[in-house]
Amino acid sequence: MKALIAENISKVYRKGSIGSGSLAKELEFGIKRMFQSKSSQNNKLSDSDFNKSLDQISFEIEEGDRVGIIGKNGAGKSTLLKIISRITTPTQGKIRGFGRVASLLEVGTGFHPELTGLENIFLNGSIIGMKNAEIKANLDSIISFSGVQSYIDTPVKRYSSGMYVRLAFSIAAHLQSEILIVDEVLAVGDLEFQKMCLDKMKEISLSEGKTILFVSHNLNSVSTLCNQSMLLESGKLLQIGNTENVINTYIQRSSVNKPLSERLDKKGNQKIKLLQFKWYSENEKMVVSGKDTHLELTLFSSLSEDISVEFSIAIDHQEGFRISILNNALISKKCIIKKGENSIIIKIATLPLPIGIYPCTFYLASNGEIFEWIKDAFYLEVLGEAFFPNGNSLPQKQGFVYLPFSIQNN
Amino acid sequence: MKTEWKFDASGNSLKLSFKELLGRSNLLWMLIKRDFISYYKQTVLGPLWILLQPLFSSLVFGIVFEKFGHFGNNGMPNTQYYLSGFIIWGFFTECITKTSSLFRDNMNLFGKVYFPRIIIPLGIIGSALIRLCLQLILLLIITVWLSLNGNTFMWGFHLLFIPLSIVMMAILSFGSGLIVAASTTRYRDLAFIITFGLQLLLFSTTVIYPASNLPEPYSIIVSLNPISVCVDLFRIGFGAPNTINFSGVISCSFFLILFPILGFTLFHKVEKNFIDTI
Repeated sequence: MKALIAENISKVYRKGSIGSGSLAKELEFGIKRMFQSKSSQNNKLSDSDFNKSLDQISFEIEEGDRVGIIGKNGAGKSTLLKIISRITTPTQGKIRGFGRVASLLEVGTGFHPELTGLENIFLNGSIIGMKNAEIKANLDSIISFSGVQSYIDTPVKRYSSGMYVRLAFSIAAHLQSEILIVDEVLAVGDLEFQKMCLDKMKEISLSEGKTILFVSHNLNSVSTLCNQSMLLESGKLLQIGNTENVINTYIQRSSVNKPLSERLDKKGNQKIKLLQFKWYSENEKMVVSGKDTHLELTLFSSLSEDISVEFSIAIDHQEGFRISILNNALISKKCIIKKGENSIIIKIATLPLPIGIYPCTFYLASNGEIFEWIKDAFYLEVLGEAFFPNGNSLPQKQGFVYLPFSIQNN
Repeated sequence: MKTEWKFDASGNSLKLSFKELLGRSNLLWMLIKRDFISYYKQTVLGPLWILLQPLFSSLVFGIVFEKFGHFGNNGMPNTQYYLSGFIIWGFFTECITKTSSLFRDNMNLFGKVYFPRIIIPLGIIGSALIRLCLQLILLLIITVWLSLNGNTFMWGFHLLFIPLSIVMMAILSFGSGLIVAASTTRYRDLAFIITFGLQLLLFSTTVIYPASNLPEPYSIIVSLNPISVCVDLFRIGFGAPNTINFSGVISCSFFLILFPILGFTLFHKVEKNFIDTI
């Protein structure tokens, strides 16, 4: 039995500010086009005016499958989910679904502050598609799970934020839907709440055999939760199938950079060249935060004698600022480069960077003579997170680096 | 048990939406309830405002028009004349103003959950209808009281014009509300125009003066206005000695067909992916 069948789904957004909502602008645009059509025959919008967020995607999902959706930012994951949940239409193609689709992390949607907890249970439940009878049947367990029994007849505007979230989540957890969407990337609320959602989702998926679509940047959680996965890359469906295979493809593809030998923006005299680099975490097939992580560099020297060098790998944040540098002089480590191939291995103990892509700049010099200097020479791609032993991740927008901390009480 | 659905570039098929709509009546009721509870919470007079609003409007216009205007009212008692006008006018404006901003008001909801969007305007009409019914009771009481005090009030078939005119008004407001709602997502300017437009519209209807007492070109415009037709029929239901204006009824039936069809088409077109543009 299928749960979802998508046929050739495409979603195209028009670039620019067309239809931005002001009548004046719209008129201006209309008049412009009128004159353009007189002056030039071809006033059709060209392909470059459109942005293909999804491109001809087809897949089938079996009932009861737990499907991870992975891909970089902008790969089309959120757009796909929006189409599956029927919030926005595909530009082309069609999708068929069997059963109700609901999203676990959109808790509290449609809550009204003036209504009491009980009234909001019915309102929220009916918005997400539960029938009155279903809500009534689950009412007791919704209330007891939320832990706000004594305030159930109080308007929710008098609730503490914790009570509010617990009640909202309790409704969502008792959701009677056949297809459940969990977008970890869009997860809101505090850490405890996010974790509660994910745990509950695992529980539901395993015990009730629901079909689940799970979007996450953390490949660790995808691989523990999902039996199937699909990989999106710039709007295209690259692969769908067994999670392990898909994740392997993702890791392989993500470490593909433009070969260093083809880079034209190299500075330095190239007497010593950077040939290869490789990032890896110990006992992992990808780079995972919290694990001891190595960077293996292969250098080639065309100098006839050994030379002591200073090198630097600068790690930048995607938003543009420099996070830190790895430099041998900084730790007073002498590095000698011989003629021919050399290898340098740099170890970062318990990598403190969260999931993300970090551009790295490479610099190699000796006594003021620059041999190699490549801006954004390669990337450090962190694909999994296991910094804290309990598997928790930093909440969204709560920092860009892990601090190894412990707490003593009394 | 499992409902199959299809979704493509044309959005949810209308047929399916209506089928789904029937299964979502509980949502409709919850929305109406939410509207009522939230509207009158923290007001001293609470739902009494439902009755006070048309009374105040009638009072203001009654005084101004009677003392300075002398438009007359075709032989209906003043209280009844203005109150009946403002009750049904209030229904219309409530529907239009609330529907016109429905996409903006429910953006958060629409961006997150799917449900047949048409439920929202239906809920708006529903709660406005309930308010109208409460006001109707007030009007009936006043009518009976006036008849006990010497005014002749006839029981008869003309009473059927009351529900008929309300249904017509509901269809008109629903249709035009959808048109406005769909248009405001694209042109926000319209949201500002609505306020002025409604004021202007009030003066082109028979809510505050009978068409027959106006000078020549204006009286035709006013009498052909579909809202005037509903207002007049409503008043006939309450025993106004008007005759039915047949050219008005023809113009009104035209709008009764045009507005809902146009409204549905535009609304359906916008609901598909307004979330991409808003």
